[in-house]
Amino acid sequence: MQPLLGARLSRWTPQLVLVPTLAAAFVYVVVFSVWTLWISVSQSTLLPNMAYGGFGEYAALWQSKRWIVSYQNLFLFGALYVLGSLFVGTLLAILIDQRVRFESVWRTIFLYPLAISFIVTGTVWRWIFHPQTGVERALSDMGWLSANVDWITDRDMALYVVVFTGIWHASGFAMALILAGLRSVDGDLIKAAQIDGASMPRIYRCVVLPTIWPIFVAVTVVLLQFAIKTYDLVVALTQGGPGVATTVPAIVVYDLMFERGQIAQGAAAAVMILAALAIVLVPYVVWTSWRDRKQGAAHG
Amino acid sequence: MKSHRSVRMSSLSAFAVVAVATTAQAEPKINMMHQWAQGSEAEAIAKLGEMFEAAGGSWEQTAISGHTSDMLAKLSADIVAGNAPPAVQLKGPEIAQWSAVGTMADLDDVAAEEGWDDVVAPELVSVMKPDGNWVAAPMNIHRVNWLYSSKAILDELGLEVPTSWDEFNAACDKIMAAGHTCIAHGAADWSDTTTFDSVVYGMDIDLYRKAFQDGDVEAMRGQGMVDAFAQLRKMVGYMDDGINGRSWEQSMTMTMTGEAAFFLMGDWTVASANLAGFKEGEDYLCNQTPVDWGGTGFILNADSVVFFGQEDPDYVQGQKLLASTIMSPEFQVTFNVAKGSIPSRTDVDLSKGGFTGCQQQGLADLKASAAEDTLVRSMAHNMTVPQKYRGAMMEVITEFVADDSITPEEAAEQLAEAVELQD
Repeated sequence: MQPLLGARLSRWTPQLVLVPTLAAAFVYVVVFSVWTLWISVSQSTLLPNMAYGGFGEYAALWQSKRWIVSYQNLFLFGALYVLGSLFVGTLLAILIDQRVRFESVWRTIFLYPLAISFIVTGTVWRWIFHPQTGVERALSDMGWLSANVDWITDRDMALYVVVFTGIWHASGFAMALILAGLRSVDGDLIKAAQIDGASMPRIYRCVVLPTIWPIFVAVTVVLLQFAIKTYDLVVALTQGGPGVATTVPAIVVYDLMFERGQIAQGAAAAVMILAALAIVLVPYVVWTSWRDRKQGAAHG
Repeated sequence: MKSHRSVRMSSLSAFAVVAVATTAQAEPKINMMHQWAQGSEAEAIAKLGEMFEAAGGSWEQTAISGHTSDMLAKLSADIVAGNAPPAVQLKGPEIAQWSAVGTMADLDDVAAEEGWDDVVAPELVSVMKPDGNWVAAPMNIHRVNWLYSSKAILDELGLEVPTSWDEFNAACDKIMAAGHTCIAHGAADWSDTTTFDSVVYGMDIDLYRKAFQDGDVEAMRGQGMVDAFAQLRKMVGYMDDGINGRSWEQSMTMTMTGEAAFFLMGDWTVASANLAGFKEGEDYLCNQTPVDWGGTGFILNADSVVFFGQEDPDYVQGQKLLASTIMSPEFQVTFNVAKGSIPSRTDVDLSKGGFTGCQQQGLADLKASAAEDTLVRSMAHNMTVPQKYRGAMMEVITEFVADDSITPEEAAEQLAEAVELQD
């Protein structure tokens, strides 16, 4: 009897250990999402009110200029932030990969922005970009009076200031992962390419980088979810301004729920953020499972 | 710190003796939720606690620092949990909104006993009595429509403080021509709207009442609002190019140091300016923002404490004691000297206790304005329409300030549409 029980227990231990995590994940992901979904069609105002109220809040949301601007910003910011961080990160990784001297010093310097919170990042870059405290002031103090670096106060340029700051913050992270990937590439591959007479840029473009593409996918997914939940960076950098030019959805959700007592509309906005996340993540999940199945079939 | 604690201990022990003597009586106690966690405001609230304890109550507070919305989130959580706080700092239309979803305490007895109806500014009484009963006690009155002028610039150009918007524009043209910035401003939804409050009110008081107090969308679409937006556009031209990302304190300093001529802001400026060492009458002048209808104007903002209904008789007693303490002239003086505002009761003598000239002028203007029937509440500072309308309007106004391509006609239409969308 004893050994049988022991064997059964050991068989079930992994599952038992996972139960709390699974339960927590279920409550946080499924239950709260469904709850938010229901709130968004309820009659909630200052307090949650579970009575059904229809889809009017979604209609109102999509007629609000601020929401439309913020949703557009989400996609524009997300795309530029991810692509920019990947590009700069790859560039830095390749440069460091050239067996530079003091490599660990450079790595630390480039990785350091990630250790700084978004609030501090936003505040410092606001000082740098603001015409009266930053670069423009410095240039005009040096005698270049017509210097004009007022992107942060220009409604067409302000979002790109946010993108730039985001890239500054995240490219070190991209660099670290890509560098690890570069180091994992088999040296023989590179030697083979060199023997074939390929130049270094060509080797990176056609041999090394394609080999480590799964790392790019992983970095992209991590950065995308950063982009979608962006809140504090924008609050510290531009407060969503000038006007509503740099507002992002998370700010709108917070305002609606806690500032204006429109919990139902805030929940509707939160559901739309979830939809944006799904647009990105569902293809990724489908693709990963497709790949796993293909690999499984190939190995099988 | 130590003396503070010993005061608290001794008053507690004195209180214990009383409690033993009268066991049948309720022991007044309170827990006040508020957002004044730092600086002079926190000191003013600590003073309220001391006065409450001196009057025989047991004081507790829940200070939630940061944005008002953080406190509101805690408040809704408490109310959903069936645990409404006995006293909360809430203002304006929020008092009516929360009294619609929660049970409120009834302070009519205390109010009748102390004659609040006669001493509280009339525009405030309706806010404190959303359903005809006193449910809240006003702590102060802030004036929103102050125009601060740089004495240095006015003297240099030989200008008088403008009293109408035409005079204001004329003065600005001269000031700009002399190479100064005319209006110091830091753009944010609330500060843009603070300026716009004064513009609409000064140009057409009836429009202000209809559009900003009653939320009448037809008034928002009208020609008067278009003209007001046109004036606001003109004023944006009188500002420098650094308005985005500048705080109101920084803009204040620009006017105080003579970098810019005018600054439109509420009377909390007085407290900050004096604290920073600037002098009234030497560095800055304080006057009402221009009005085209030639009278005394007063746009009012007030902080208040709301009392939710309680089961525990100790809290019920404590609420009455706290309300009475808040309304006492002694507390009104201490609190308002620190905040730069004026007492919410009009019968306090401001010539004593350290009130500045601007504050005394504020009280005189409040009385004059009430007599002339020109007293209004501030939309920008959440004293009139519910938050959802206010938020929608502030979006339109701050967008208009930020975006030159929006015409005044479009802005007026957007303002009406934004409000209509909320229903």
